[in-house]
Amino acid sequence: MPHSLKKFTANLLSEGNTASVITILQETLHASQPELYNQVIQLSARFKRLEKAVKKGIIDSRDEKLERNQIDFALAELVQEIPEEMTISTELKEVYVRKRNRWIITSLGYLLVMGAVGWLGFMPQKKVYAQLELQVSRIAFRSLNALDIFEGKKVSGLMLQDFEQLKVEASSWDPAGLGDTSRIPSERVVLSLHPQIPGGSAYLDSLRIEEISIMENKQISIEVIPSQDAKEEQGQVQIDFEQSTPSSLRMRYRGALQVATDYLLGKEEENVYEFLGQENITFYCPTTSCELVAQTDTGIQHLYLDTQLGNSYTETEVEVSEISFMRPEDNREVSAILGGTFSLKEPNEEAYQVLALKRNDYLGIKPKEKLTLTELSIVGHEIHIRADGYLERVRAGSEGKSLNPSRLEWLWKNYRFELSAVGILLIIFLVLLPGQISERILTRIERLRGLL
Amino acid sequence: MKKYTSCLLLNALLISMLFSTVEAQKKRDEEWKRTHKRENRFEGTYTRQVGNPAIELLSLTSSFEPYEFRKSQQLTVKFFSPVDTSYFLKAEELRIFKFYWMESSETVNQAITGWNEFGPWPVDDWLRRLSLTADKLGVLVRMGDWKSREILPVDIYFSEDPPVRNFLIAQFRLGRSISKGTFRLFKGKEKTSTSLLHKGKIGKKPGGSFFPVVMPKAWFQAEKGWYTLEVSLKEQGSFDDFSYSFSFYHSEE
Repeated sequence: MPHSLKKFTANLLSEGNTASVITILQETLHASQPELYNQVIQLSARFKRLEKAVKKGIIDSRDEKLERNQIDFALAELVQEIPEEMTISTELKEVYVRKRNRWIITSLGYLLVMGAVGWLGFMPQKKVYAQLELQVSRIAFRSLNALDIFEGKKVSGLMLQDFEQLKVEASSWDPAGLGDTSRIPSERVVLSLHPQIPGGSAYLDSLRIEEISIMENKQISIEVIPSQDAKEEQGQVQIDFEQSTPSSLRMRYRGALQVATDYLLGKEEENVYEFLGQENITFYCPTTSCELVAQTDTGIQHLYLDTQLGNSYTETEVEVSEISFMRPEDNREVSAILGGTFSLKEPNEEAYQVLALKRNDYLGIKPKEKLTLTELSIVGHEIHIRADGYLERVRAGSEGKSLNPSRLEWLWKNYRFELSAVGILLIIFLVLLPGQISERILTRIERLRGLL
Repeated sequence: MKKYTSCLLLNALLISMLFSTVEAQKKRDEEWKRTHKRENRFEGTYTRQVGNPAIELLSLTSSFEPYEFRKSQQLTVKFFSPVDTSYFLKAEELRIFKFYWMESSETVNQAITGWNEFGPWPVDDWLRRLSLTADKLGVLVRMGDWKSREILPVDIYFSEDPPVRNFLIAQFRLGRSISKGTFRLFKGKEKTSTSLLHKGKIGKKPGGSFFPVVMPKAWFQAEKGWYTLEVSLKEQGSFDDFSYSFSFYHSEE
C-alpha cells in the first residue's frame, strides 16, 4: 500500500534523519518534480560538503550546527511543497524503516552488553577465598562447634562474676579471714550471688581448671591483657561467652584456697552467711586436691583468669560463623589487631592480593558460611590466629574500605583464559552487531509479528 | 558509524555513573545516631561516648525490675530532679561484650522539678536481640550534659507494681586491675570528715570487670538532698592510687 511521501519524509526529518530524507527525495522527485529535485540536489551538495568539512575538522561546532539547521530548515520547506498525492512505494519505505529499527536494535544491544560488562566488572565479588594470619589482643567469634577451653590450665587467680552457685569442697574454713578456723561437717560450702545485687563476684586464688564447656553456636570473646610490666609473663585472659542452658565450670585446688568475695551469700548445712561488701574467706582441703563447681545460669558469662601467658593455650579447627577483631576502649570500638597478613587467594593457589596489617589497623570480615580457625593460641601477650575460608565481605583501613575485588578483577585473577575467550567473543559480537546480527534480529521480529 | 560511536560513549557514561557508588564508610557518630534513631532515643550496638579510662560510673539505680523477653514489656525510667534541668540518660552493658548503647534523644531530655519519666523503652527491640538482661545493664541519668558528675538515681520498671529495694546500687567499670580499694559516702557535695556518713572496702578486681557499691537507704537517715560517693582504688602491680567521685540527689525522706 502506497504512503504519502510528504508525511513520511517530514517524519524522518523530525527524527533527525537528514541524509535519508535527501536520498529518498532524490529517488522520488527527479521524474515528476524537476524544480524540487534541483533544490534537493543543491541541498545534497551542501550536506556532503558539510560532512567532509566535519570529517577534516575544518569547521567549528557552532558553524556546523548552524549549517545543519539551515539545511534541515530548507528541507522542511521543500517537503511542504511536495504535492499531497505523491506517494512512496512500500518497498522504499520499508528500506528506511528497517534502517531506523536496525539503529534502535544496535543501540539496545550495546546498552545491554555494556550494562552486563559493567555489572560484572564493577560489582564486588561476594564470595572470595581468604587466608588470615593475625596477632590480636582480642577476638570475638560465634563458634559452630562446642568448645572445652583452658582444660588442665593452672591459674594464679580467677574471678567469677556470673554464677548461680559455687560449691566449694573443704574440710574447714575461715569465713571472716581472721584466722578463726572452723570445721565444715558437710565438707561443702555453697556460695551464691546476692539475688538483688548484680556485679557480685568471687576472686579465687591459685587453682587448676578442669572444665569450661561452651555450647555450639554461641558468641565467645577472648582478650589478653598484659600486666603493667610488659616484660612480665603474667597477664590476664578475659573470656565472655553465652550459654543457652545452665552449665558448670569445674576447677580444683590444693591446700588452702583464698576467696575474696563481694556481695555473696554463703550456706553451710543450714547456716547462712552474708558477705556484703568485700570479705576474705579461706578454705582448707584435707586431701590432695578438692573440687570447685560453679553452676552458671543461661545468658552471658564473664571469666577473668590471672595466668602465666607464655605459650599458654591452643585450640585448633574451630569453625566460626561470625568473627571480629575489635575491643572496647574508653567506650569505643577500637581495633585489636597487633599485626599480621590477610591474603585473597583461591584454595591451593598463590595469593593474588596480600594486605600487611599493622597495629590498630581495622579489619572487618563476614564469612560466607563459615571460617575455619586452624589455630587459635595465646602466645605471650598476643592471641595468634590462622584461619581460612570463603568470605562474603572484607573491609580494611581507617575508612573501612571494601577489599572485595570486582567480579571482573576476580575473574581475571582466577579465570584468565576463560575471560579472554569471552572477551574476544564479545568483541566479535560488538563488531557484527550493527550489521548482520541486528538484521537477523529484525527479520525474526518481523516473522514473529507476521505470525501474531 | 558516527552514530554508533556516540551511542557507545553514551552507554559507557551511563554505566560508569550507575556503578560508581561510593564505598560505605565506617560508622561515625552522627551517622550512628541517624541510623539508630528511635522515637525518644538512640539505640543500637555502637558506643560513642568517651569515658574515664581508669574507672567509670555506669549506673546508679534505686530499683531495676527484672524484665523478660517476648512479653512486649516496655520499660520506664523514673527519676527525681531537684530543679528544672536538661538531662542525659544512657544505658550500656556493665561488662562490654555486645557493644550495646542507648541514650535519650535531645528532644526529650528536659526534666522538671520533681518526678520525671523516660519511656517507653521496649525490651523486645535491641535488648532482646542482644540477649541483655537487667543484671547486665547499667542505667545512668546525669543532670546537664554527658560529662556532669551530678547524678539522679533511677527506678526502672515495666509493671504497675514494681518491687521496692531498700538500697541504691552504683555500678563501676574498671579500666585497670586493682589490688584493693575503699569507698566513702558523704552528706552534701563536700568531702569533709564531718560530712562522712559511711565507708567500706573494695576487693581485688581485674580491669574490664565491673563492681557494685551498695548503699542501704538507712545510711541516708531519711534526709533528702545531695550526697557524694568517693571511690579510691590502688592499681595492681604499682603504687598508683586513683579515685572517682560523684554527687547524687537522694529524694526519699
